[in-house]
Amino acid sequence: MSSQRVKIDGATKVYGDFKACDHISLDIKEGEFFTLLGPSGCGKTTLLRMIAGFNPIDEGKIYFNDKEINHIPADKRNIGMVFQNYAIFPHMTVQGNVEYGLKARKIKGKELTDRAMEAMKMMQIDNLKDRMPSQLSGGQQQRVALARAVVIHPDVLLMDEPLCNLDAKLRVTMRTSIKKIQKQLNITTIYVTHDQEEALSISDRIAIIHDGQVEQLGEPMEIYTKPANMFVANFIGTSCFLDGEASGGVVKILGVKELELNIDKEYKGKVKVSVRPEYVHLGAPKEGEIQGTITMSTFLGDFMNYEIQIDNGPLIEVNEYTDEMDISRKMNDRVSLELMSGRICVFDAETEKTIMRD
Amino acid sequence: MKENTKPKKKIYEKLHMDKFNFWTIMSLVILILCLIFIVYPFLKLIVQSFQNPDTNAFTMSNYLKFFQKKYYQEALGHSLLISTVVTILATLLGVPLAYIGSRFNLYWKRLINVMVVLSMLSPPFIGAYAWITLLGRAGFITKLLSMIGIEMGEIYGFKGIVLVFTLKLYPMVYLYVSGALGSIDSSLEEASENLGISGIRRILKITFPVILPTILSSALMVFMTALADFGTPRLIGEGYSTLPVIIYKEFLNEVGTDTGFASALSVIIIIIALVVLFVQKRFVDRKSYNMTSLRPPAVIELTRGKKLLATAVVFFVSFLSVLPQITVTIQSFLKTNGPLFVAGFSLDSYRQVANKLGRSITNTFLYSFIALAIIVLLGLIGSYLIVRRKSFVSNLIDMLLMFPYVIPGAVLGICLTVAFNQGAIVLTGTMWAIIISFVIRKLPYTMRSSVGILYQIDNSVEEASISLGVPAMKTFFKTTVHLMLPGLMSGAVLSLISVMNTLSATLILYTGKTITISVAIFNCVNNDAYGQAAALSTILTLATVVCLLIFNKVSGGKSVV
Repeated sequence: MSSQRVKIDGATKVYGDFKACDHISLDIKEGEFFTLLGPSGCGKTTLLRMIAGFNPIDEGKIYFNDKEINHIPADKRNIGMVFQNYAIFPHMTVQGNVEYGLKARKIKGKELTDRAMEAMKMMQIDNLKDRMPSQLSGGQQQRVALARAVVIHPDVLLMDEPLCNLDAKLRVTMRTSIKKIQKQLNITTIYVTHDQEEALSISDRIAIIHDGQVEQLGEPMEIYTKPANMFVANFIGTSCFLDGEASGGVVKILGVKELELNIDKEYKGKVKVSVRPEYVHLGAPKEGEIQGTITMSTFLGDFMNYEIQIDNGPLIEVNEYTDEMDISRKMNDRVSLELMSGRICVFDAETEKTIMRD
Repeated sequence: MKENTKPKKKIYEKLHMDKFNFWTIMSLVILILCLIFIVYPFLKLIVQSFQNPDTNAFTMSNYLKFFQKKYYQEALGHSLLISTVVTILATLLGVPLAYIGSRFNLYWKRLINVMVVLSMLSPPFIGAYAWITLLGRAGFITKLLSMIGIEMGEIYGFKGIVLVFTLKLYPMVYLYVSGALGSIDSSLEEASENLGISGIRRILKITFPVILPTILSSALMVFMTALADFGTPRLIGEGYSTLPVIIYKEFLNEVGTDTGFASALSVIIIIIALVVLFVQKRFVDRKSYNMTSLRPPAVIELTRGKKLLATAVVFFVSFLSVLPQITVTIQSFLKTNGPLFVAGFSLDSYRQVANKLGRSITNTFLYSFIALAIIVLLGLIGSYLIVRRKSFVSNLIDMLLMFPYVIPGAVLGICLTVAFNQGAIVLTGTMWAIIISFVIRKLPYTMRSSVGILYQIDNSVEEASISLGVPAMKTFFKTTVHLMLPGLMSGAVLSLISVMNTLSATLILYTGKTITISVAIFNCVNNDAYGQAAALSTILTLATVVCLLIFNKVSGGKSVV
């Protein structure tokens, strides 16, 4: 299988006054599982469809290895694509669907059936080969769509929110099998999703897209722990933002608590401190600490989720693992919040960009 | 999807079109066909309406004549009055019957549906002539009643037209509303009952408002058909003239044709139809609900007595509406003596028909099938252009193809005659004139239904095929055509039935060589050859039934709605 490097160089797509993709440049490595992650309407699907050849590229270039593909029609790009609604051909059997692309490549006889069978076995749908799509469940249809896309040995596999129509449990199972098959075939894969948890779990690298631009590019862990700006911090996982003043590497949060953080020492001025629910220790109210009142508590199995109204500050979410809990907290309890200084991130309040040091 | 326009705009980019490919060529071809066969004839009609037929000089006299003579304004008044009254009656009849028929477990439901569909699909003028033979001066029932001393009033004129139209047109309301009632999600009605509103109040507050758009669109169809129909008022109206009757008379007057005046009248009737269409569109578009029925409402089991009563009511009305067909079928086997039916059965009428009018039968089937092939092809390509290749041109095509919806058959006949009796394309007197009229009449309906079908098919099916290496053109035939065909074919069978039964345009366009069954029936009735008319009507009804059976096969046992 000839896996390819995909280079996107300043790709732009404009609808009237609206820039769906605004000079996006990405370099996707051979065999990489690359995810375009962003809220709906951010341009990620537009970009994917430009790679597939369904949307013309207004500006910029897209290369497979070193070959520019801008003007190659969609049917000549040798791409495997999995659609959000599966797009199974409803008038063909499972086997007919899987063989469709092979027949278009003039593959006949034993090779045709062998390759189709191999793909169906890999997706564990070989026992369904004579069924019509209407007799399949959502998960089975998804497997057919995947088998049909990989059987043609595509240079690149494109997936457009392939799991969003499945129920929560099936989504987790499917995402594991997609990842396994992708690694097994070592096929360059570009995956579009708006589900950050899915993106974090499945990808080698993620590009966060927002308003047609790349907000951050990196490995899942990096994006989660070192968000480049407030948008990413907010979009990936849950973050609450507290106002602060930075000076000489020290941040005074809400005018109450001073913390020495790993930030740009030169920076002086207003900042926003992002705090994830699991980056806070709760304790008995103490002078000189950030304090607040519990307004809501939710039991979520392995942890408790509290909503806390901070004095002279915003509402903040805090998680506390049930096995660590020594006291059960109740509504209207007063608590103090101790932030884990190694984990929290600080952003310039004006530009919303990170001022953390590497 | 709207394509982006970059600095240097090519002409196709300005029109939001792709580069030259199969679809651009197709949209241009269809556009040109529209211009030749829809726009040009209609413009010619308008021009003629402002012309003095002898000198071709500009004149307003054609319109002035209409506004000066009371007779013509009366005809317009008649047309509007009849269309309005019939629309109201057909709706009042159709909606409750549809509710009873779709919500309760009646006896003989299938038979009732077959009768309703059959009466809807037969030409209205057959109803007119059958009712004359039943309730007319020498009618069967009239005589029967007068024997026992009851004198019937006159069936002719306003009453007769309204009777025939109502019985012929309420099935439209019945079928469409039944469909809408079947697709209401039952949770909607359950929610209402749960909130304490049930029974009649629930029907008025929830069910009725939800199906109102459907009621209004079927009412519009009733209005348009009643406004445009020519055969019925011509036969049963006697002195009570409507606009289409006058148009026909003026255009085919044996004493002297007044093409200019006929054109002016045609323009007037089209304007009325357009106004009604726009009013209705504004009303419906503002209040239309998209309903995806997860759980269709349950059919309520009635107790024996109630069930008998409900069945009797629905059955009686649907039987009345199919009575003309039954009447003519019986008459076709009666012995005749000139215009009179006499005692005893025979196949004489069929023999006479086979000798004299055999051509009309072959013509009808030949023309209908050619028209059907064209309709299916244009419907397939046209709807694809409108849904998947949105551009300035495809929007234009969409509008142009819907325009014939407001053109009454007789007016279409006149349009085609005035446009193609001389010049570059001469079609008058050929079979193509009739076939084209069939296509133009039915295409708007086929277009609507195939556009609907295409919206149900997700575009990504085609994209999947393309990304698997099948070029766009081949993909269209391997996926979309395949998926559209069942729906398109079942719609096409209905179109086939409808063109076989069409009268008014053909009546203007036919010659001795190109006569069709409907025209032959009409002529037989006019010449008092009732036996032959009955035989031909029976053949037409039989052909309709056969097509319906085919439809049921094609649509996989779905009912006709």
